[in-house]
Amino acid sequence: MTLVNDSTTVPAEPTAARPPTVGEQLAARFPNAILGASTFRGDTTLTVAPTGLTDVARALRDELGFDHLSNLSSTDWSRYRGYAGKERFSTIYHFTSTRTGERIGLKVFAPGGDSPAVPSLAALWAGANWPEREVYDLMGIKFDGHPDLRRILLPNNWPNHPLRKDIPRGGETVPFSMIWEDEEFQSFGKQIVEAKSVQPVPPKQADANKHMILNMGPQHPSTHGVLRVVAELDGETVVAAYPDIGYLHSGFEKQGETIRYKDFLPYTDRMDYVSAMSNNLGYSLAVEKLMGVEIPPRAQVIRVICAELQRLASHLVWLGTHIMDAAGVSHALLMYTFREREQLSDIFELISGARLTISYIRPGGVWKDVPPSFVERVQDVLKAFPARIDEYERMITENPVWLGRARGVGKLTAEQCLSLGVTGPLLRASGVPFDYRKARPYSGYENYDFKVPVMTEGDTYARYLVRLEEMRQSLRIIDQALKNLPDGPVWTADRKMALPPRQELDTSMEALIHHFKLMTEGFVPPMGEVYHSVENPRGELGFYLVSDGTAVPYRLHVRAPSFHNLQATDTMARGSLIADLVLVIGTIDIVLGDVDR
Amino acid sequence: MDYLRNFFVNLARSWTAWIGGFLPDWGVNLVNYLVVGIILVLMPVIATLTLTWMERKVIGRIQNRIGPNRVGPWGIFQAFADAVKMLIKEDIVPSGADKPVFNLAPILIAGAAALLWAVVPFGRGMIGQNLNIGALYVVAVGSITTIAVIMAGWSSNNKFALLGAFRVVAQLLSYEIPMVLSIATVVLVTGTMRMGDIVERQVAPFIVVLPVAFITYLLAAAAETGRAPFDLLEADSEIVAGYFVEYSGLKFGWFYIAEYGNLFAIAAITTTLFLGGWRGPFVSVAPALGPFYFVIKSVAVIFVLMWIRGTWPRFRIDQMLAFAWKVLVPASLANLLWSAIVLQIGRQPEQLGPTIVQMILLLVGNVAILAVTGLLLGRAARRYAAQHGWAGA
Amino acid sequence: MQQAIFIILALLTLGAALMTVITRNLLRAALWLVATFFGIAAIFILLRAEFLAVAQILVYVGAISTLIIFAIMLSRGIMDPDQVRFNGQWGVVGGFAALLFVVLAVIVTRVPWPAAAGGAPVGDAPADAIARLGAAFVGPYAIPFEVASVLLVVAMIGAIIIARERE
Repeated sequence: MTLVNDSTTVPAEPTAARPPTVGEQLAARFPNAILGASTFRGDTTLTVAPTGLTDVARALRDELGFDHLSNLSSTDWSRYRGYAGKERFSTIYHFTSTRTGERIGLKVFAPGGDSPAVPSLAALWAGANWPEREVYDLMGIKFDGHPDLRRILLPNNWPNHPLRKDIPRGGETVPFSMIWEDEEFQSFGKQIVEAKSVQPVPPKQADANKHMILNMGPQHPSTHGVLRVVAELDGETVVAAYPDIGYLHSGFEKQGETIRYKDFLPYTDRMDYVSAMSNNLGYSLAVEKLMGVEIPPRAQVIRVICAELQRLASHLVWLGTHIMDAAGVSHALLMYTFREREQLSDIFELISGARLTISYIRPGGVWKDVPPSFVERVQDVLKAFPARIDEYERMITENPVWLGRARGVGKLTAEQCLSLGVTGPLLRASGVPFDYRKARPYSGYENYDFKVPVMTEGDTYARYLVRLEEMRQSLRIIDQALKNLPDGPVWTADRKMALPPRQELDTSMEALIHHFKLMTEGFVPPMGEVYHSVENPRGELGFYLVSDGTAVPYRLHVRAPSFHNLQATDTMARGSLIADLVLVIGTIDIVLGDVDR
Repeated sequence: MDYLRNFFVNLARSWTAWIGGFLPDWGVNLVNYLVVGIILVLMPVIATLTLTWMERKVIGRIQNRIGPNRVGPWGIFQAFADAVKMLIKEDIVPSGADKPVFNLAPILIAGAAALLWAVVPFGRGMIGQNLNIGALYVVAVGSITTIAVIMAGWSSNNKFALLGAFRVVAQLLSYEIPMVLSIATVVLVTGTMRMGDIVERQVAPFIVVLPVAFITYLLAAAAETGRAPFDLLEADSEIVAGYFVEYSGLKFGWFYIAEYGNLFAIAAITTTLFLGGWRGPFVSVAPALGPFYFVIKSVAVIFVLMWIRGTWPRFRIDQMLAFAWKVLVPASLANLLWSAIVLQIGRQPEQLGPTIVQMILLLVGNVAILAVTGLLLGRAARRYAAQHGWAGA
Repeated sequence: MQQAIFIILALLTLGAALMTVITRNLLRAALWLVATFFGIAAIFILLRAEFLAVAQILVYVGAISTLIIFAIMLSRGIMDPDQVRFNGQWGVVGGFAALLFVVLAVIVTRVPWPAAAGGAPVGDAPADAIARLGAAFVGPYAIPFEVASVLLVVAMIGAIIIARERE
């Protein structure tokens, strides 16, 4: 059974001509669990019975090599065209193979009507923990067997599950204040040094009697935003670290369901505000995939240049603030990196008029062609940066204190990374050579000669080296892209998204109508759902879009890399010292706008 | 001209003669003690006003910035503006704080900072009190800071402050030992604990005679005063501001004054012990030059400390303690032993300060200790890295 | 003049000592103890025994009090001000304290102190007093000095062993 597809078929017996697809293999193994399959824009999605989900997922991971749980999301189908009396909620899981780059989606329709429940995958992938909590929080789907099913983004006393279609956007009373009687607040908020020793109520996991519970954040210099980490300490040793997020939650996904596709673009700037270009690119590619349009080569090359410049800028911010975590605000490197970032921001200002929230890459191409001086300015960057990166390296790479602080701290093995859904430089520093630019190339990344830096140590120092090398590789990509910058348009010629040329409006009635429709309504994708992910500076940035054939997304979900990577905090910090916990938060390179959305 | 040559001492004499004209002897003494006392108490304040400006300028230049440049020429009055701001800020005492202790801590810490100045010789005869236990006094007064910091950290009713206080105990007690050992080496070589006499007997600056003691002292002193890379007590990125996180207004200002007063004091003591104090060219002709040499040398030491702050990451608490106990203490112990042996070799009765031969022997021993320490450290680091399979081993 | 200063210092020291005993808050008591140590150091200075004064501050204020306070901070339960101040053994302890006081008082009054007998005046401490003190440590009193240091080493090793066993 499926709702969104253009070719509903129960997978046929594999023919001798081609090897069986993953869907066919699974259907053969679990004839009762696989209810159907659909393919839309190259994305294969299997519909799985709730009871069979765990077995299918385990088989995917252990036998078929889909070791990475990319995305976990959900949809409320109650207002969907064609929905009639079927299961109202579904969860969707996207699995990616880190070896081949293949991807497959599993969709589970949750039984239980308005209080649905599906089995939890947290036992198979530790990284399913937070996404499932997010789904529970925003959509109200319960996960059976989840170890700690609480709200994650919204306060504990929030009255509803806002992503459900019957909850209107805005207008609700907002219970922002913490309840004093709340168990969690009592245990974390009280000080141990009180004139009268009041024994705080211990939280579920933390042992408040034996250990000191330290609240780091949401106002703390090195949580990089409004992150709160509740650290359970034995002396200075971190027994456990519980990140508490949601202070910056702005409901972007709900907002996305009320505005047209192209209008959501500025919101992506404000998610990972340190790398707006990459977000623009990820969203634009997802929308273009949904629309099925082609982007002209010049626009593609400009996009690559912009995305790599953004990667440089983002890594510069990371480097400066990371050293600040280790050394305090007085360290020179912070200002050095910001000096370089200034050069990049100037380029962004040149091409788009904005420096931080850029909105330059848009569904359909890029906003406008780059000005002539763009190439020259980027060449200045290419000339200056190698020496600058060497300068940073001279400053700290061999510094004994930095070596002592960074090596062996925040270790993650490859297995832990994959289980936790950690992506990006963290995954690559643990020995998994997985980069979406190589594994699932987009925007023509397959045409560039660059290397994916990989290290096996999996500690803070390895991640530091990996990111520095990524900056060098980005320079290589930019260099090649600049040399091969083709001429031509920067906006798609596909009339589904592009306005007709001005002269046609005088002669063609069709063009006039088309123009009118695009201007008033916006472009309209066909019914269907896509998931597309790109390699953001922080890891896998994915957009899951469900279209019901109108100009407004039916469901828009963001797979934010920081959100998933942040889950590794506890694993990385356990058993280390407070100073290491600060470095761990820094090495994850989170942006809270990305975490909370 | 003759008056100018020894300007400061002559000034003091003229002053005493003048007030002696209308006051009895005990009155003269009382007034003079008061004047010296006020000068010494003001020293940390003056140091704060100048050093905050200097630090902001130096760190600013290191960071590729300009630093303060709005208040007065080159921003030199920035510190005064900050002081005024601090004076008029609201004084906040957190609920649940132990109020008397909370209020006492800043007074105690600033007092300890002022006390240090009593034994600093700015020039020949220009010393608050040439105590016969001057060198030991420096260490003892430094240990009062420990109590003040613990009081501040405990009474604030804040876990970050408490963590800062925990760190203080480990850090200050550990670094007191290499500090005492390196001071003891100097005392052994000069045969006196009077700070004034240490300078008198320092024919060549001890930095070239006892480099191990100099490095040990500078690092230990940086740790004692919580300077980078040993600023774990107030590590802004970890425990926010450590023990004084809850202080505001003037009380916060006292901590600031103590910090910079101590910074200047340890630079002054380093100068006294290792850089020849007020000694310099022509100082025997014109002793008034002494204080200038002294201040220039101290500022150079301070600059080095600021330079480290701008370019080095911070130690972690366990690494820091290991560094004190496994590197600094053995090295300075070896240095002390070697110094004792050397001084016994060519010992002459009534000898004041080391002879040339002894100084050369001391230097040879120091260089050997430095080389062995470096060798052992490098080998240990490589072995440790190899054990853990780390990169860059 | 000196007499007056001594009386003031003695009163302050005794007052601080008394507060150490009667304060209910343990940490405050430790801080009063620090004040007592300071007072004693001041009296040492008054007696021209600067070395002892500085050693008093360095060892008692800088190290011992710090450790006492640290121990108090680490044990939360005993900071409760509502705790009872006496346990069942207060009578025994009081008896011993009284006995100690009597013994000390007898010693102080019976020993023929040179200064009290009109010997060397307090003001004339020799200039090389520290050197003589140091020489005495390694000369006539070498054995007691070494015994004391051996005792300290034994105590230190014992403390390390006790701390290690718990792990």
